[in-house]
Amino acid sequence: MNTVFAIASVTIKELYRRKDFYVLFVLSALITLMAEAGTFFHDDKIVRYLKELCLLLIWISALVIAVTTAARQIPAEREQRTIFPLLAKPVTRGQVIAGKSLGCWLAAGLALVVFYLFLIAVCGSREHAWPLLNYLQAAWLQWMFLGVVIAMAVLGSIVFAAPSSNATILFVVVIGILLLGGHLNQVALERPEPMRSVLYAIYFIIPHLEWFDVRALVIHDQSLIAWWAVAAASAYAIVYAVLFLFAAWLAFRRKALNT
Amino acid sequence: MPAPGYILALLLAAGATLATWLQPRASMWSSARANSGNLLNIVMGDARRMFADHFFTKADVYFHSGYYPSIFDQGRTNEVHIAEQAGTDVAAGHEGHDHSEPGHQHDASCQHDHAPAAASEPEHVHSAGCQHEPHEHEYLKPPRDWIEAFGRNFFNTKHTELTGAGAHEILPWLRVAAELDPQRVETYTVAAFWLRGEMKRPQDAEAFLRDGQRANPDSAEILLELGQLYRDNYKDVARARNLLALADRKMDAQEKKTGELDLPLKRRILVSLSRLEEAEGNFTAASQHLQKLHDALPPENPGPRHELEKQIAELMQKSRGK
Repeated sequence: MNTVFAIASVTIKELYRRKDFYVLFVLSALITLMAEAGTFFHDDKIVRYLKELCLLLIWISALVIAVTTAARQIPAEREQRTIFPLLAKPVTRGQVIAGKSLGCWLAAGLALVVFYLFLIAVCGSREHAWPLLNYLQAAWLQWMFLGVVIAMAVLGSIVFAAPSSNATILFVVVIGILLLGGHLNQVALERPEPMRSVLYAIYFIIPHLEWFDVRALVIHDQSLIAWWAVAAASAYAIVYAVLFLFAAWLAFRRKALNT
Repeated sequence: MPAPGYILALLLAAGATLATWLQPRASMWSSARANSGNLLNIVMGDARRMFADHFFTKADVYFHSGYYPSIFDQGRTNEVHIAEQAGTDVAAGHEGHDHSEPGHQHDASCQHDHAPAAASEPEHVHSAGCQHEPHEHEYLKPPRDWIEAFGRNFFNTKHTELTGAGAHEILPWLRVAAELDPQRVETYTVAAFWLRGEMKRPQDAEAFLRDGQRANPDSAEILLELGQLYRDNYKDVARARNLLALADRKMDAQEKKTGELDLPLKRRILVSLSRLEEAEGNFTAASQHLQKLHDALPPENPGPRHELEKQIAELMQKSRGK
């Protein structure tokens, strides 16, 4: 386990050494603050549009950070030939997968903490209310979502040829699931067989990432999500993340490293 | 091979000649775009109308605190709820209310001002005290599987509406929709309805309507909304009458130009004028407006015409009694 954490710590350090996080944070902050500076109909108490904008930027930024970081971990090690001394430590291939994924996930979590603190500060200064538990639930669920996405990215980094193609495919898949995943059963029922069965099978197999997008509940000041539901969704995310990482390990075991 | 300097000079001369030839033609191309408005129009073109529609619907989503059907949900219609409610007067209660609308019931606390409904009246408004059974706005059906059932823990599943000052959350989206498509008249009338009604900010409503009027000088809907604002909020009957009369004239001009009659709008204008004159004791003028409406109603729908005839007769009687 120490080995896994050691590899993870290197990945975390990479987050604050590279400029991706700072650029995305500054950009998000600037856009949010510009939106906050304006008033509509001389009313400076309107806050929901600001929450929506800020949360959208947080989701986009966190997704970009998670996918780009995770997608390049294994390919970068192979390109720079640092995978060989790493595996000679001795570190198993499974530990490399686990360490890289854990590092990306913890790094994404750190980024989320900074983003959400900014959100709380900006929105709290306007609405003079701090529904901290709502923000906590939203941040936690988003972190769980990123765990699944990172696991998918690590699997993709072994299966696909280049980080760019991996990242592109992953963005398309994730956005597709977020937009359509919850409605696939409805679409399936409107189709004739065999397409109905195919769509329904896809509906049950895909990870339902749209559960983790609870921005609307935060924006519209809805009540807290039941804690049992949050726990169940977290367990669901962990299961899927482990499945993807297991698949990544199976693929990585058989992969030649010098090509 | 000639010296490179001569080739360069030749190319420069050719470039300058082409520029001189193209420049008057290019300024003709760009002047059409420049006349169409600001940078947003030039950059986005007609896509801005699509975005304006999206943001207008977004205001409705905010009105319902996120409880809203997606494009996949059967319950989705083209009606936008905030626009439905803005369809008629707030103060006078109901105008244009279709009692044949299925699933619609309300208790006695609702105020009704029974002007006859047009043949098909999609508009639905209720005063603040109305309680009514949920109807077409409840779109969630029982979940089809455990995934759908569990997923309902993560979004709003209750039909609620913003009220009072809280309704101000819809304003940014209406403002953005108006910026993107100033010719979308409904944006101005809906925003003004909520500003002067629930939010009690008639000055902001008037300012926004005036912006809409500048962008749409022939719009009878905006003039109607302005007239209602002056009548209900400012209690300035004279100006309200002038605005409503102007709205009526704009409608008549529009009808002459296109040959098409917007009956629900005409009904709202004439009923508003009639009610205003009746409240001032000008029963003859009130009956004349209702008579004009009566003449405009289609003869194949006798119910509303008979109702109007009764009201006109009542007004004439009051006028004689005066």
